[in-house]
Amino acid sequence: MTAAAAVGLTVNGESLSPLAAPGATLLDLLRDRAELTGSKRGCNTGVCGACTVLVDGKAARSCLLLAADCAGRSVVTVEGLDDDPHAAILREEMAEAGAVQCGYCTPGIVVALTDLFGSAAEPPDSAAVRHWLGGNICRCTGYVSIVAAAVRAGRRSVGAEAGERRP
Amino acid sequence: MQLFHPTTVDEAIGLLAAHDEARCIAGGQTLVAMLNLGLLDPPALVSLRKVAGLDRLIRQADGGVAMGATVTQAALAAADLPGALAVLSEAAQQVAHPAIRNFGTVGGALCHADPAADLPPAFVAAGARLTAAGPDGVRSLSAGDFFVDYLTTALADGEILTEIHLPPPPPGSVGAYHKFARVDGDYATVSVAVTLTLRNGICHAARIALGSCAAGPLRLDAADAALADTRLDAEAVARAGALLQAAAEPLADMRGSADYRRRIVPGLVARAIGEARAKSEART
Repeated sequence: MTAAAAVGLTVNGESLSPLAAPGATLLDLLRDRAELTGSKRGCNTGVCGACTVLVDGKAARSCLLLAADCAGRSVVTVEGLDDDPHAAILREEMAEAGAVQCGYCTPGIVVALTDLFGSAAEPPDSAAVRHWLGGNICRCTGYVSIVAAAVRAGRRSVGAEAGERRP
Repeated sequence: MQLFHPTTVDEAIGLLAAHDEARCIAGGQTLVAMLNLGLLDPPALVSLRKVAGLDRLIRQADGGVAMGATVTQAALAAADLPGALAVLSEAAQQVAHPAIRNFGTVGGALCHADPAADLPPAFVAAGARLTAAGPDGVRSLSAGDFFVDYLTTALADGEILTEIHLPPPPPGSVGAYHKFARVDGDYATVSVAVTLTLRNGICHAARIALGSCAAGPLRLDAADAALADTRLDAEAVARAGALLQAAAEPLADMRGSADYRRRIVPGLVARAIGEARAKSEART
């Protein structure tokens, strides 16, 4: 086994060089080294979406990226979305809709939808939200409240006329 | 386990040769899951992420397309490719979920050679040529010859898939990828990739490849021939579907029994042909 090596990357805007064992994933690095436990380990095989983060601005499965392969990359976890306008509105709507039960899937869903809202030209309808969240599994809510909250949040935060309403 | 980041193909080939049982890693969207599950424990990984030029998708002057092996599935899904090559983008749009496609690569999906995956049948139907580079030089092989068995390709030890070349689509060509899966983003129960060359309502050439119906993409000369020089009438489409159905040797798994998969082949073949044909009609 080769020894752990330092990986230089940016996490939530901060430059870090945590140690990572050769087979360690980005999720291992975030949770165990950077002490950012918002990203959850669900299936650890890329199926459930609970570990979703943004890597270089794009949604990524942090359990499917080798930590050592993330050198030089910029990572944003759910903890880094405190000041994100899309995420702020989404959090409000999810709380309002009761779109959280056990909460294990919630960080991954917030990150995935933040990516969708940031890249969409128009507010996504419920079909688009459902398609986008196909890779985020929730075993509690039945998705109805999550999708409703996402559609409402999208109407408030996506598109030109929503711009002035952003906080 | 060591992880290497070569910046040239030659350097990557050298690293593979120098380390027994070394594996290439590109997007890692399958390989890292296998590492996490303990299914694989290679002593060395050779990352292709920093190999210059492999992530480029180039539209050539003659209408053909060349793409490097590390072009992401998301990039292929978003590429507006001409004529029959639309089959590739449609297949890429249906690979797993957005976060997977953002990092999963075209070359990785082809080299993994999962018989239920979306890209292999699409590249066979599009008539792709694959370039492999190894210690003995560079060679080119057809997508049809590339897929040898379950999870097995024609790549020799130490060889790397570097580039995929798509010939210029002929005038009047259209392509479609029709996937039947139990839930959004799942592997196909059965999928059908089809390219057709249509002029004045006559099908001059057809190429169909099925996913999840054999050890690799299932293509049959007789099925393609059953469609050639027809107006794609119901009888011709049914004949092609029946030939493919008879040749299918699907596995049974949680996505469907072997018998179920065989039963849905003719219907899905007809749907895929209908979708491709509708594009031709929309164009005129």
